[in-house]
Amino acid sequence: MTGPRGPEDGLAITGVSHDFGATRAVDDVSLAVARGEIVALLGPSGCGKSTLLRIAAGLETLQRGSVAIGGETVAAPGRSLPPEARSVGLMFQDFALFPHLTVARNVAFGLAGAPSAVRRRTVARLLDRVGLAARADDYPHALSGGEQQRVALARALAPEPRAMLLDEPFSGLDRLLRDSLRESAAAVLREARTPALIVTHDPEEAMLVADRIAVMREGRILQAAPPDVLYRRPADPFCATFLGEAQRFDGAVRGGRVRTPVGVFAAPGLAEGAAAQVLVRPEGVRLGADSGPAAAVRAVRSLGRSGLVTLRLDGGAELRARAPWWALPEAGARTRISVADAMAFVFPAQER
Amino acid sequence: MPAGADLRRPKRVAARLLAAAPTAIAAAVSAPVVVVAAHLFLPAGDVWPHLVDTVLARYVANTLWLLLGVGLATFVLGAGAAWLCAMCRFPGRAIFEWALLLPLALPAWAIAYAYAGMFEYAGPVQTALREAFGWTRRDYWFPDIRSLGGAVMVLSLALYPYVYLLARAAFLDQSVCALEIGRTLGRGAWRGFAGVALPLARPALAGGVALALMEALSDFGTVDYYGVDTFATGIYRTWFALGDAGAAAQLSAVLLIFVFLVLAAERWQRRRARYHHTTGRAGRAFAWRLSGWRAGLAAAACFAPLALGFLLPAGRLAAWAVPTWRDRADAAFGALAGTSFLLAALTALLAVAAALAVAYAARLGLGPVGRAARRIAGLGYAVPGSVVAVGALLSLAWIDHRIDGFARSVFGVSTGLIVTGGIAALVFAYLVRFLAVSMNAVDAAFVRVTGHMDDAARTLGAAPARVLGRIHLPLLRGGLLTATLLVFVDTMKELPATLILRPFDVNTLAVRAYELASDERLADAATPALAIVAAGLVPVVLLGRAVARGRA
Repeated sequence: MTGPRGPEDGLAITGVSHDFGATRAVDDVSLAVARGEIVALLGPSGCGKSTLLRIAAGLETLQRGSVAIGGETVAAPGRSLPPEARSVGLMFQDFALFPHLTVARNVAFGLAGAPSAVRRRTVARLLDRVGLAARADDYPHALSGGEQQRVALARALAPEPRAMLLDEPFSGLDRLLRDSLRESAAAVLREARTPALIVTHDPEEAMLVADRIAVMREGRILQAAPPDVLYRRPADPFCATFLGEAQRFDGAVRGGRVRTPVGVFAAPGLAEGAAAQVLVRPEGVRLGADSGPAAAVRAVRSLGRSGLVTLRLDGGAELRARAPWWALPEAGARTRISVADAMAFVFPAQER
Repeated sequence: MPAGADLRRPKRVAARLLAAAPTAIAAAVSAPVVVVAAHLFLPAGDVWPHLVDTVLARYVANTLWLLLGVGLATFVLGAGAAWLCAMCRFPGRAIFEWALLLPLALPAWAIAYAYAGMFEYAGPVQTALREAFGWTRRDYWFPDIRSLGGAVMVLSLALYPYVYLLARAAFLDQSVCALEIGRTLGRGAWRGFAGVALPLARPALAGGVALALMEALSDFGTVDYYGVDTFATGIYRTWFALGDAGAAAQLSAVLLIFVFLVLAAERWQRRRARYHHTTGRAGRAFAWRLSGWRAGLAAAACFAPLALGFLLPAGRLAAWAVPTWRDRADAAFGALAGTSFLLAALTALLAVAAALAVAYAARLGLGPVGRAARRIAGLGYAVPGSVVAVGALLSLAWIDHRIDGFARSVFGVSTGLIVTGGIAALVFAYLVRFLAVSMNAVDAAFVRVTGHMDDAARTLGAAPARVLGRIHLPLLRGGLLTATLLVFVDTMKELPATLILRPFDVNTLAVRAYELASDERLADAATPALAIVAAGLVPVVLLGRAVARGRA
């Protein structure tokens, strides 16, 4: 799993495992982020993603594996650079601004070794870039949440770190603010060409900002891929359901195919007779097909551009479909359905 | 940066030492209490049965009445004033809000001396009555201030601010969420207070009353001067007059049971209750605007505890001190003040250093043992000064004997009482008693420094030393100063432990005031007492400013 330009000048995490007592928090994780790339580490809370980030930053002592930044090994078992020697930028959900320092001094904190002229220029340039030049002499408590977040971004970028690590950086903000800040922050990061690893539990956020998404669960990375690949070709049932709604139907493999109430699907790679599950995305369900299972429309809910249709198949199963507003049926109508193969994912049945 | 050249192990020795700090401190702090508690199970000496026959029943009865009286009175004064200041608007409220804390600057014994002087037969009140009505001694009845009732009154006036402080914060917290709901459900001011505000504030009220009761159990100066026999006076007398350390320790152990009961009752009443207000903003959304006679009544209800607890006694002390202070402020007084200052400063610095060590250890993460140790280290505030003194002396004397025995057998010299003979035992006892004060203040200061700030500073290139200097110190400075001040003033006021543990040539302002008052030289006792009040006013004014700004 390497990024587009290889890990030599980016961030490379290789074979990292980490235990807290008897609990395995991170389990043999490898992940690379190239320069100019933004990778999202996506998973439910407690999946180990924040621990991995802290290991990369040097805030948690590495136990097994290695971490390299800009081609230099910064952590291997028993040998670890302290965080202050790693040249990483860090951003938190709570921003962690220093309340006793002005905005300008917060941003200048990481530039302690630089000549004062360079320091002033860098601070001015970054504050200008995040649109806060006018607030340089204010104290953090006088800023709004969004402004504090932008100061935190400028502060982390000021020393020109070799990697940026962001821990739920947008979760502390309300939704409207979050959307606009997310875009501008991503633009700033891309412009700086700093490899960036963003930890988040929000799939939508991951898909909006990241070039690649690594889905993590119970300490392991299940799949790392660009957002559209992840959405359309999930590697396992968890990835399929975490990235978007999917309904599950069970069946057994007969002649290389699985027969379910909603249709018959190819099951490549599954043994004959094995139990299988098919996960169907609502937008893959087509209404008004010429052939296929018959169903009654139970309820229709318009969501604006599209609508959600709840169907009851004649066999008794329930199915949700997403359809454009002009194709929404009437409640009570009867129809036939077909499921697009590209929006139905076949997996062995043992998991979930 | 060449790969691998700079890789090094994190420094672990300092971290290990720090991690052991809470346990070491807790062990030291709890040693006196454990020694005293052990006397519950030791065979009694000759004096103990005598004590049981003669005085124990009186000690128990007096202590119970004292607890009941002080508990009720501090509750009424503290909760009432707190509700008026938090929820109502009337002339003078802004001043009362912080001024109601002023009695904290007065040691209870100083209030006791002032009232004794005022209400005695020869005092100004009775003299004025006699002159006004032409009475003689047999013509009238006047309550004796030197009584259990007098002690309850004095201690309640000295201690109600604990209840006031906690209750006020609780009432302000709940103002938005609960009371407005109560109002929409048709509850008026009085029913809102009794039906919603009081039950919601129960944990805070109980916490405040428990603090006041603990201080009342610890009081020595007031009950001693008013001739009320309680455990505090009994321990002192058994120690000095009867010279029986074992019996004194056994009395201390019984007093510890009372302390434990107060603590347990406080814990029990909030067993499930964590009454957090649910909205983040606890603004002052509404207040009952009082006018006319209601406003007058509210102002009077707030003025009464302030006047009786501070203005009157402080004024009495000042009136005594002013004509004589030139005579009293001589070289001897300077030496007293110097000793008090040095002892208090030394204790305060050590207490803050210990609290810092515990706080940093907690920040690095503590195991179950460390967490328990941290709680134990903070329990000393509940242990009365006389108990701490007896326990400290018994445990340190054991160490003295070990050192002496070792020196004799190895070097052939006797070291004598190397620990208990000097001020070390005294400072140790102060630390046991007041460590909790510094720990609370330091912990409160650390709330401002989040772990993420450390992380951010480290990744921005700051080594731990620079994080300490550039982030922690500036952010903690105010809290550390507060912690130092609070311990300093508490040490200045301390009486029973000082009386028991001071070396013969060491005298403090508090002890001098006690000696003078015991010799019925109340007017002369006023000058050292006022010196302590002056020092005590500093943290109270700081606290009052925080209260006025709505931060405490």
